[in-house]
Amino acid sequence: MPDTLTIKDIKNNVEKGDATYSELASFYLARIKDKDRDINSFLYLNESALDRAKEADAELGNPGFGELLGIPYAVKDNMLVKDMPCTAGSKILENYIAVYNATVIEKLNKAGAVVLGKTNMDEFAMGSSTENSAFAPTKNPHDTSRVPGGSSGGSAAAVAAGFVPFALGSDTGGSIRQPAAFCGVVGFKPTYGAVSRYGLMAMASSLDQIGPITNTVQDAREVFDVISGRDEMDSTSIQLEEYARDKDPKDLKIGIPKEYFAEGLDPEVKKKVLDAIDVYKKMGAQIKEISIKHAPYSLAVYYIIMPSEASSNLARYDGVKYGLRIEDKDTDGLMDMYLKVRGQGFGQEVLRRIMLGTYTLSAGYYDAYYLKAQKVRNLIEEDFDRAFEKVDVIISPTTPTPAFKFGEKTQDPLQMYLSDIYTVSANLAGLPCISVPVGTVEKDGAKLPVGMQIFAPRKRDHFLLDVAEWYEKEVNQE
Amino acid sequence: MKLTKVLVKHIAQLARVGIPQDKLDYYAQELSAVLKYVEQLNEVDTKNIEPKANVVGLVSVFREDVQRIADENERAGVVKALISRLPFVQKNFARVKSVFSKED
Repeated sequence: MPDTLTIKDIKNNVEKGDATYSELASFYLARIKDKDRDINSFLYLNESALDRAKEADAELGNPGFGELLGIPYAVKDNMLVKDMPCTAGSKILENYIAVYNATVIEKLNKAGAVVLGKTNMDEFAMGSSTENSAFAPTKNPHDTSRVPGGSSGGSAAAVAAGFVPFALGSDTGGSIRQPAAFCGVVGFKPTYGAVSRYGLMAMASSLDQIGPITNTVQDAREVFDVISGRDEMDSTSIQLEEYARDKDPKDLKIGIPKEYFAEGLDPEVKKKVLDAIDVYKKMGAQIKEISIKHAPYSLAVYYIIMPSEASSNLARYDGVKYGLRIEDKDTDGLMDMYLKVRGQGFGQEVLRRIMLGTYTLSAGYYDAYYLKAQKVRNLIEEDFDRAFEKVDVIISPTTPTPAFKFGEKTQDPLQMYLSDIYTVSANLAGLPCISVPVGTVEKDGAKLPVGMQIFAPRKRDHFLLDVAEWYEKEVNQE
Repeated sequence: MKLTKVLVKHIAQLARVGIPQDKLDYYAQELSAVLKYVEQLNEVDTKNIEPKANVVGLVSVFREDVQRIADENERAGVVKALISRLPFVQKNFARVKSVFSKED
C-alpha cells in the first residue's frame, strides 16, 4: 500500500474488491498504534471504528449508500463526538466526555464515514505549533525536530503521515491552512458560515470556521460537499448556491497582492509560490499585481478581536457544569473557586488571551481597542471587495517560512503570532481560502513543504476549489 | 499602553482567573508587548468608518417562545448525561460554593 491514500484511491480499491472497509480500518488503526508514537497526532483512538467499518462493508452496494461510506477520518479535539473525550487540548477538559455530536459529525456519520480518533491541538485552538497543547506537542512528519503548525496540527500531521485520508480542522486565523502548509497537505477554510459550527468549541465566534484537511483538492471538495449547508442549530450558517462552471483557466484573472510578498517572506518560499503562479500563467491565466492596502494591519486587528471574543466564549469553563474538579475544602467562596479552577485549568497562552480580551473589552478601553479594530476590519474587507472587482482569485504564500523548530518561537508570543500574518485576513473578511502544497524547500538537510494560499470572494467556495484543482491536475500531469 | 502589576491583578480578577503573585510581572510584560503591537492601528484613519461586527450581514431573528416537551426517556437520558459531568453534585443539582466568602 502506498504511503498515503486519497479518498478516491480507497473508493477505487474497495470497488475493485482489492480491500474491504474493515481491512482498511484495521490497517489504519495498526499504523497509528505503530507510528504515532513518533508523531503524537492523536489524543484518542476509537477502537470501535472496526465495528462501524464492518457495518459499512455490509452497506456497500445498498441503494443510496453514503458518499463517504467506510472512509476513515480524524477529528480535531475541539469538535464533539458523542461519548468520546473532547479536551480541546486543555487540562480544564481533560476528563470531559461529549454529550452530543457536532453537526459536521452527524453529517459525516450519515454519509457513512468512520471516526478513527481525536487529534491534538493547541489548547482551545490558541497557537500555531501545537506546543500549547496541555498534553504534548505533535511532530511534523517531514522532520520530527519541527512543529506541524497549529492549531489543527494533529489533524494536518495525521493526514501527512498517512494515518487517515482526511481530517477535520477549525480555522480562526489560519489554524487549518498554516498546519496544512507546514505538513504538505491541502487545508481548506470555507466561507464564514458555509459549515455549521454547532458542536465546535467556540473561540472567536465572528471568525471560527470548520474545514477539511486532505491529500488532494478533490478530496477536500468531497468532504466539503458533505459537511456544508445551512443548519438550524447554527444561526450564522448559510446555504451556498450552486454555480455555473463557466470559467476555465484561460479566463482566469489572478491577483497578486504586493503586501503578501514584502519583507519577512523567506526568499525560497517566495520562489516556490511564484513558480506555482507561473503554472496558471502557462495555462493562459492573466496575472495582475494588486494591493490590499490595509492587509499589514490584519494581525493587529486579529489580536484585538480574537482575544475579546475568546475571553467571552471561554467564560463557560467555570468549574460548575463540567470539567476540572478541584477539591474544595480550603476554597473560600464562589469567586475563589472560579479563580482556582480557571487559573489552574487554563495554560499560559489561554490565560494571556483571556486577560487581553477582558482588558480590550473593559470600560474605558472598548472604543480604543475593540471598536477601532472593528473599523479597520471593515477597511480590510473593503480592500478585498475592491480587489475582487478586478480579479477572480488572489494568490499569496500561506506562511512566511516553512515549519520552524520546536522552542524557536515559544519564548516570544509575538514571534509565534507572526506565523499567521498571511492567513488571518481571510477570516477577518470571511473569505473562502485554501492552502495547496507547491513543493518543498531544503533547510538544514530536511525537505520542508511550502503552501500557496488561494482566496476567492465570499460564497465562491466551489469556484475556489475548481481553481485549486486546475493547478493540482496540471502539476500531476507534468 | 504599559500595564502595571496592579492592573494585571485587577484584569485577572475581572476575567475570573487566578494568577499567582510571582507571575503578575510576567503577564504585565507579555500583555504590554501585545498591546504595543496592536496599537499600530492608531496609524489608520477610521473617521466615518463603520465598525464591522460580522461579515455575513446577520440580523437577529426571533422565534415564538414555545415549549417543546421532549420524549420522557430522552429527557431522562440527557439529564443523566449532564449530571454525570458535574464536578460536584448533590442529588440532581450542581453543588457550588457559597457566593459570599468568609472575607465578605
